[in-house]
Amino acid sequence: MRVISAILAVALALALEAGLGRLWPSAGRWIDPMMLPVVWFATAGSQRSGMLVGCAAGLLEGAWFRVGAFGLDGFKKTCVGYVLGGLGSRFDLDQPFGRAAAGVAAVLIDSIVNFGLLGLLDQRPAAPSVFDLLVPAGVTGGSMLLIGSVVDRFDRRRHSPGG
Amino acid sequence: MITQLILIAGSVRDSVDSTRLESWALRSGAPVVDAGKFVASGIGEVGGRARDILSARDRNVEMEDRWLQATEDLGRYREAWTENERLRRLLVMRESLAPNSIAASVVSASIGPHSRSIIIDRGTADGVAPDMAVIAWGGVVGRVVATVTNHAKVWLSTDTNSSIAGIVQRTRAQGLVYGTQTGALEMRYVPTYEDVALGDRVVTSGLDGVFPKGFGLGTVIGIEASGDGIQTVQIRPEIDPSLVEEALVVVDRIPDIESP
Repeated sequence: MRVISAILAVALALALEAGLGRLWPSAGRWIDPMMLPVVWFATAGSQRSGMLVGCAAGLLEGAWFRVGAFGLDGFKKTCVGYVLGGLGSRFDLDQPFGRAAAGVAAVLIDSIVNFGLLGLLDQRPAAPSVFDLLVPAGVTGGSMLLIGSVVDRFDRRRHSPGG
Repeated sequence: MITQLILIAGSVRDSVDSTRLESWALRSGAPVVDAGKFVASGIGEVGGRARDILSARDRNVEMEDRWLQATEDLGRYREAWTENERLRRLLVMRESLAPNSIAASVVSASIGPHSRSIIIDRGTADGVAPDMAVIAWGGVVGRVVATVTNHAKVWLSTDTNSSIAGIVQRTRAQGLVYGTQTGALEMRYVPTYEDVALGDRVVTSGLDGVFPKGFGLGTVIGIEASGDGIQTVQIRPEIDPSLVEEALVVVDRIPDIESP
């Protein structure tokens, strides 16, 4: 069940990214939809599920929407899943503000790993601007808060005696 | 009862003329009947007006629906007209600049800080292959980097890692045109002794083996000389590749559109 929900979440994120790109090409500067399932499964699940979802989401994203070294996005998101999953095993991130903080952290980790990897690959990485760092972090954090509250409400309704 | 029978008998006996009593009853009842008629006609009129109001409301709702439908149709016609214009221009461009090319529509675009690419709806099934040039309106969009059956990924010329061989149209000064994070282009490795001025047009030189010579890259908007005899030229792109909706994939290496 968890595997199916992970596959569905990644597929949904891929569709969202493709749809957003069609309607609003520069949406990529504001949000990385493929990051959302990674953060979700890293905080709500285990470190392993976060890494696996990160790997799958990153590879799909790299194949469809990124140019350059293939596998870079898969590696970055696996790292994000690893770090957030590790933090999730020490702190309670599976609650609204925990998820929001994890969303912010995910974007920052992604940028740091990206910067380091491009440097290792000798690709002269430009330092990300404050906008490109803080805005996606904020939007991702906000999105996690929103998704979390919707899912929590749905769960409560499902597990309530009347539901 | 007896009085009634007498009255009936009287009226049977003299049926032509009405009796005095009957006449009196008729006359005295007339105002009441008139009043009843007046009230009834008033009620009828009010009812009719209410019906009119109700039917007007229905007509209003219907007209509003029709108006919405017409507005929607107009929007669709305008969109179709715009698309028609774009396709007409694309056709002209195809015939005049790149006869051996495939028209493609952009399916999705990804303009992020780390990468700029678009997905088009043509792939290996249409003969699209990696390293084919993608152009639109005489300007460079990018190059194909990956293909599947019905889709291809295009690396935009404005991506920070993209490089295209460029040449200043007026003076033939050559360099490599790179994308930048701001979405502008930069022509690097231009010797300082080369004559480059603001407003000069930069086009593809054809030396990279991907883009035919003469497709527009942009206009010079800034020049920055470094100490090592090299100048960097800032270029405003001729087209914004991220806003392109239709493009041409150059299938065969076509003859250069600009004679040397």
